[in-house]
Amino acid sequence: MSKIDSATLQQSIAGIREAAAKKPRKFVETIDLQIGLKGIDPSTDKRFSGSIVLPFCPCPRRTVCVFADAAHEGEIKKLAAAGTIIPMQTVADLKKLNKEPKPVKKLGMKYSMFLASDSLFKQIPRLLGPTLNKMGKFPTVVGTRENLAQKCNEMKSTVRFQLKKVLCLGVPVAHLGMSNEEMTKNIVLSINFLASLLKKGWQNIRHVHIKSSMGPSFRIY
Amino acid sequence: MSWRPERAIVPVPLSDATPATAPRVFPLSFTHSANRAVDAAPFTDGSVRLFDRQDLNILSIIPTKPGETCALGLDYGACFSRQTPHLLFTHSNQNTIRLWDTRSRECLNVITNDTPITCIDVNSDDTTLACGGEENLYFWDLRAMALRSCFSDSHSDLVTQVRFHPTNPNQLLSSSLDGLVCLFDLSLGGEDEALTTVINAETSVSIANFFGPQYENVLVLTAIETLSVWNAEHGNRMLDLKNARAMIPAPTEQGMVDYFVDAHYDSATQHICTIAGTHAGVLHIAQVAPTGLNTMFVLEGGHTDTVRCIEWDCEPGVIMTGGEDGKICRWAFY
Repeated sequence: MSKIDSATLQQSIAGIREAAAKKPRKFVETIDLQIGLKGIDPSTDKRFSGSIVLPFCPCPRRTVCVFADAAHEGEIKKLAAAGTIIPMQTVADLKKLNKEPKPVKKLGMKYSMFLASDSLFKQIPRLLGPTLNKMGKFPTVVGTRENLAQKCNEMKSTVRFQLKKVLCLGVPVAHLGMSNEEMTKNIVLSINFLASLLKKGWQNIRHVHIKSSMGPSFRIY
Repeated sequence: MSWRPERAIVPVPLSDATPATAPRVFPLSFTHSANRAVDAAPFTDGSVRLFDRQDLNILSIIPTKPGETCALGLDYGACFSRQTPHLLFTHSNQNTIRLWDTRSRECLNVITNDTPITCIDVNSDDTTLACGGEENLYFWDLRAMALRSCFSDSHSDLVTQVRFHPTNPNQLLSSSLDGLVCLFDLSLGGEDEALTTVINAETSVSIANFFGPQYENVLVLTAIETLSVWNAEHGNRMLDLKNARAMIPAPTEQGMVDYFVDAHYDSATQHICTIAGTHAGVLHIAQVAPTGLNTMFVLEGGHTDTVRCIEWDCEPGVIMTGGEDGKICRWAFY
């Protein structure tokens, strides 16, 4: 299905690694996928916007905080004892914020994303007001039966894309700390998914580049 | 016995709106008048065409931006008054909303908002007009023709839909590209109080609507073609189909339908049906069941391109579709 030439992709990844090795940066560079589209009119065609869950997390520095009920609190404590620390806030903690925008905003700034136990979910607009909505950080619901650590990971591995008025879009899909194999999987999966949402599939894609934060870009399609 | 296209029309583009490089002209959505005799469809050339439901005769053409005939795109639409059959609201992607008398084609009133508007709806007792904008929600009092309130915190991206509850004039949902569907009870006061439930669909929402015997549930279709069902009061998820497209087999390259057009609730049988399409113009109607989607019937032979909108009225069983081929089709069961 995929029209990406695997040899070109491997060469490009090698090129990115080479450029990064020449001039090391003080942070782990992210690899972006840049896609140019054609034959699409953003003003009348169906909206092209959404998110992809990648097999490997492209942004490991994201933090997830859980608004936990009693059951999840227990699970988080168990995970913490086993060495996996997930930050959490209990209902009592949230009530202390008193629905005031400033403390809620401070909490919102501290973490990249939020999860909330399903039993608690309904109360969140009541407890916190619309501040988190505005920040684009309204929590995702997590059921009692779901695996919390896995859900956190899935959240961290989700990337958003959105086509606005111009016919190109960029998505972060990988980082230099990954193995070549992980990168390849992430890149191929993202492009195939995006192509499946387009009206004419691959015929709507003009070109695809990959690029690290500071390095040169490489054309892969 | 099957559904067949009974009647189809291809509305003629406005003559002065078709330069050589004109974009294609096709309908974007349908809205019906209070007595269900007339349907209005906003077209991509910036006009709203009104037609008779029975024989699809074009009754009149209303320009959403009088004096200008440029292509306006997705962010404009129309909405009939819920109680008076001949009153129609239209909005362009500029800041104005116009109120028209569809009999005389006269513009009765102009509401000027301070930012662009992306969607509108009128509540069941015709007292409030809600508008979605690039991030904000605006509420206009239709008796005083004055801005009543503006909710600026609930969404962080473009609002794709605002919908009032079919019977409760104070209940409203709004959906946005930021992935949230917010439910409000406007009788409770300002934004902090009115925001009762937030649904996080986790990805850009394209369509959200009330359904259920008391319209107590919400169905959400996203721009990446997933489907989920939520309870409006508690905000808990009842059904989540991440791979909804793959549940409807269709003879396309991928072996499944390409996209979802809309969803429909049949109050008599209490079934929710999704309308899924292929880019070749074939529609697959599937019932939403707890285990997934079951194809009920197929609408084919009417369109040759992506179908963009559907109007489905159970009483007396009318299905109308509009597609990117510029056609409007009415379907009948033979």
